[in-house]
Amino acid sequence: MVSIEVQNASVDFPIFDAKTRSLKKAVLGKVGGKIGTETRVPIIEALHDITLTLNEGDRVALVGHNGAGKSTLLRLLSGIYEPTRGTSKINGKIAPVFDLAVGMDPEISGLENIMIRGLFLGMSRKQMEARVEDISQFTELGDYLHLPLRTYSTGMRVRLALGVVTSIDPEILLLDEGIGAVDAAFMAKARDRLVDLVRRSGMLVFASHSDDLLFELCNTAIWMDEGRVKMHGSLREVLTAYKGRDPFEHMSKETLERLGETL
Amino acid sequence: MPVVHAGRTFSRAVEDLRQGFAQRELWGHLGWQDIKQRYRRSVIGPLWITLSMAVTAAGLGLLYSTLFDTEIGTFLPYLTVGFIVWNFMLGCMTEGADTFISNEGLIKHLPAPLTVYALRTVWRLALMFVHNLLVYLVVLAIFFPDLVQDDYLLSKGGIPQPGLDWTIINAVPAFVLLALNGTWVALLFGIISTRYRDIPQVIGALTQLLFFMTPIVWPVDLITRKLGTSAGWMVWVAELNPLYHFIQIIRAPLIGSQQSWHHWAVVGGITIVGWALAMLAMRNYRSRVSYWV
Repeated sequence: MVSIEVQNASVDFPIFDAKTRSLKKAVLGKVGGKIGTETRVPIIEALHDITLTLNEGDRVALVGHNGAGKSTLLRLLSGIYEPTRGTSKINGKIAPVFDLAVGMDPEISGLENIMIRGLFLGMSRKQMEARVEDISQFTELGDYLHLPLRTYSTGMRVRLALGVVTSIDPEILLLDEGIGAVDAAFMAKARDRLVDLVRRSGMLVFASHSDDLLFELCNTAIWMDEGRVKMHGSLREVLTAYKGRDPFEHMSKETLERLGETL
Repeated sequence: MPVVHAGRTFSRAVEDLRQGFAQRELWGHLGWQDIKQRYRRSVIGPLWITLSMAVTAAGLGLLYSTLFDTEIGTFLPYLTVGFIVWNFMLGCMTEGADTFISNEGLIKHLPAPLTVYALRTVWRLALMFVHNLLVYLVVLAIFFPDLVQDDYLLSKGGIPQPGLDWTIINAVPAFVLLALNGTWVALLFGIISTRYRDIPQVIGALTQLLFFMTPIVWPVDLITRKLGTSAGWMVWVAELNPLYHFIQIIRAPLIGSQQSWHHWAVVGGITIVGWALAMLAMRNYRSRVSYWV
């Protein structure tokens, strides 16, 4: 059974190179987490007291303004950050797609990058070799796969990363914003594959500012604000509260039916 | 099996090590990738490792055998092997300290045991070590007659050495032990350096001195020859240097010089203490590394 349980988890970042003195006044702006100054090393409270249960079949949208803690929450859910306080319990095979500029080596070929990412996600070399053909077809990259990654456009990198994570049958897919860089045709293809994956026994958490992508991929949503969960509910409820208006209201009946929403 | 992230326990540190070692294909691939990457688009590729070692060993060997008035036929193999082992140890210390810092991108973007990165570093260094061994094989081929002699001398008036024999195979477990130590060094130095960024600089500053303090370009019996019986305290310069014992367990069998069990004992002790410290660091700060990088 795939699930994620987070209890009273906090993530505090120590900022070693910041001058404590210049941060004497506790800065509490609209953007970014709280900056604590009680200790000698300033701390950014990126996530504060998060309690969250996600279950199999959940397709969760993460919304919130810049610096609200969306990416940090995704890293907490992936196990990259362990909570400074509280606990997190992750049950399932994780596949994250975060910032695409890092975590991939620009100097080596697309194929090599596929292999390395696959190995990182717990695949064996043989298993990955068997999947290369499928990934190559899905991503439509063809001969580009033999060229160094630095020759790829952003959209092509996204295709590659999505190709890898969707081919390895992960149980928990964590996507950060940035995958919106691909064209509409590929997005439609990717959507089918992602939704299919989640249906087969999985979970998806997707952080994005693009409503269209969220409609396509998610059914529930979490609104992050200043490192806290401000709201957790159905996608429509949360987006309505977050945007101040119902994003579904001007949609045609067909679209709504396709997205599985009712008026 | 759910992964529970809470608290600092030894079982989670052990789990990290176990999973890290199990992902052999991953760190093996990454280590090779590093070597291929470094010599990409160069004509002779990784053979540059071998070539630069050959040039250094030949140059230093000729210079110091003249300076110290030693037999080139036995001194050049001595210096070559010492230098090859030193290069591996130097890598474990300097690149080991950089292990997590240089993998910042991967650590922040893909969940993986920390041990994978330490093993990536040690594996890369081991591959370089193998490249350098080619130089040893060439030197061995050239000076084989000098090294198989009974009671050959490293320097004039030095201790007679037994000469090369079947005990050369002792070098294999010795290297395994060295690599095992390299792993705890990469983990421990890596964790400390990620938190305190001055540490890699300190290590960098000290290694230069350490190189000249360790019997690599000079044989230990040179001390006794120069100072006679009053050399008591000078011998301790070598004996108190942990690196000397590591070099000696590999060098002595490879060039057929006097092997001594006390080197193995010291190395064994360092292995146990080092791993204990590394495990302590892993228990307490493993989960902090992704915050610090």
